[in-house]
Amino acid sequence: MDSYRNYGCGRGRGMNPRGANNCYPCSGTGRCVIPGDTMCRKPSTPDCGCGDKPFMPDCGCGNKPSMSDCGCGNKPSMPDCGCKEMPMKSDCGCASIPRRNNCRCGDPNEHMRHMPVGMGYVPMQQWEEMYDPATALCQGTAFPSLNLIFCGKRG
Amino acid sequence: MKPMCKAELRQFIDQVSFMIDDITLFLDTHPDCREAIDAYNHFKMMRCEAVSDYVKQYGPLNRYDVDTCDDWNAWIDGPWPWEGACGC
Repeated sequence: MDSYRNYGCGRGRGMNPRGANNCYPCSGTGRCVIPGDTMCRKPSTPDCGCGDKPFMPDCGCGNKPSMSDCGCGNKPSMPDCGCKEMPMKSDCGCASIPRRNNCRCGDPNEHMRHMPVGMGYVPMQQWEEMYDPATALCQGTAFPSLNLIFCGKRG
Repeated sequence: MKPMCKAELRQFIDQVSFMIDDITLFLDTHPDCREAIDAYNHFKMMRCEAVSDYVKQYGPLNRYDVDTCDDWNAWIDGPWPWEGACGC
């Protein structure tokens, strides 16, 4: 199916998209974006594809709406893709920035796969039980989560 | 606090001082963290007691601890860092 047949704003293919409504072309995303309008208009599906409500610009998962699965593990028919949930599942999905150090993902890099590219992140340190003073001075930090392994060379 | 020799007490002071240093770095970005404030106060109290004990038993640790003329003489006459006076 030609997904560009209907931009969703009522304009058909071949028409100058920058008409009276100043509708911009989809640029391959399947989404017709009218400035100031947050409605997701991917014509082939009722929502952007990640299962989020159509009036939300995106679910925050950072994935393009043309992807059938945003990676959060929830079915698209669910009104909430679960991105805002605490990362208790084995696949923390789209909880982009973990709210706890012990998000139980089992893989400290799990979250990075769901974060938008091209941006730098510095996760906020959380309070935790500290080392005893003797261990802290030996390790160079009082906080276990900051006790990173530095090999002295590229890992 | 259990009795410690000079080296042990000096090492303990270094350890709790380091805890205070790291906690203050955390508080710089989390000034409202109650747990961090409590930990800071806890180690600050421990350090004060340890420094007080050290000064009473072994003389001043720095120029702010010098109390009497006898202390000042001890401060001058005691070994300097380049003479190996680090408590190690």
